[in-house]
Amino acid sequence: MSSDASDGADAKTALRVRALESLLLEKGLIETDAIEELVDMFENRLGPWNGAKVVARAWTDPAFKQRLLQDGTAALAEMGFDTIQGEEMVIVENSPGVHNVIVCTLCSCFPWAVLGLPPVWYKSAPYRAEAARDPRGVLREFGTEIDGDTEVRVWDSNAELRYMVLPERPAGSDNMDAAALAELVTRDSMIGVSKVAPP
Amino acid sequence: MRKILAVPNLTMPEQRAGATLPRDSDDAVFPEAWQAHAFAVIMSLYQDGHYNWAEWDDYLGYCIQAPGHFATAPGEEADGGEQAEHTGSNRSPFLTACERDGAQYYHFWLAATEQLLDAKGLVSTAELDARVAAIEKAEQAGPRFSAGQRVLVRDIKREGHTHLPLYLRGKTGVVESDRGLIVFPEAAGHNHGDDHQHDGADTLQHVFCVRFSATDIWGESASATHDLNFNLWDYQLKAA
Repeated sequence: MSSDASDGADAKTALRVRALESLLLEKGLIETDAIEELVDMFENRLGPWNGAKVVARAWTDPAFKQRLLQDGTAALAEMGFDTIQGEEMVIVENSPGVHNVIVCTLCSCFPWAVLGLPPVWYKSAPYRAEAARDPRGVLREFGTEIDGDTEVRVWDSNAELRYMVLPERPAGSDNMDAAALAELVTRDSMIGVSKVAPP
Repeated sequence: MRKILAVPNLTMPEQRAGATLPRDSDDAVFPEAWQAHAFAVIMSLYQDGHYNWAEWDDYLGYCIQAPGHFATAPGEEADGGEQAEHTGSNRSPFLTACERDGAQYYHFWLAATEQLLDAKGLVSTAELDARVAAIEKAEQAGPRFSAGQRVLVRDIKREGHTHLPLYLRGKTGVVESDRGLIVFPEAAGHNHGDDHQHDGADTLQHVFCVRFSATDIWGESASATHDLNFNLWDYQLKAA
């Protein structure tokens, strides 16, 4: 559906952003280079591939995993993933009896340093409401079935404290090294709406 | 270094091949360039200390939790519908609803941006509306001259500093290229005081690069194989 009406509306919004940028440039409040650098950073350098490396290392390096669960912010900094706005990072571990899910019920807080910007659905009202009210139902929508004996823990992120899920290492991955394991890890598994599938 | 105050076109970087893992996150980070730029503006001003993140979070949270604010915004349903069609048949109604609702996110982001920047005195709503109108006006009118056209530099009398080299007044040149829409520093409302304003000059004007032959400017003693190129605002030119 790309009617003239929707194209026109989007063009109007884009025009507003251009107008805003032109005023800020004129006032010396922003610089073109800085804006381009930020877009590139979030487009190309921050993303779930970073989190996948963290997960793979935690699966293969028990001492690192312990540090990661104890002080997420420090352990991530050790791997070069500094938080963007000085927020604290908490890593929550899935285990046979516990499944963790992250949400920002009020807006869209997300662990940028390791997962980049959140997917569209994460920022939506239905996900934010239902993940808190009926997480098992939401997980089912993502094709994830959590049995009744497993405790589902929902973690509400805010600007100061953000979470990442450390998913369970899948069966049949015993002989894989960290680089190969990282390729198995999905973004959704680090949000907690899915599990890491066996190789 | 002072930057040219051109109205920016919203550019996007190439997506790099390395940024592809994991497999489920191949959806675009920023589906539209304006979303990337609205995002980067807020980050840049935050990094320069114009507000703290909690302040921004307040405005964003307010806009997100007050969807009524955007109930009649142009494009809302159109965007949602478009999103729903992309994700279409193989997703559950719940996830489709999530995609549709989430597609509004950067509209909320922009609304929060406008409110915060107004509250902080960085860009007022009136100022923004005026600039939107100025860009629309200039883009609708289009450039007055095109490459190859002969133009005459107007004989503008003005006290104080001017952006027009005075020896060009009354000279005829040829338009080499159109540099796009650029803020006219001498336009009314540009902080130069009333006596310095040019009545009727638009804030945003096309700037044309105009080529003059040296002999036209310096006389017959100049080299015949020497020309000079100047960037001149629309206001400073008329058709020759």
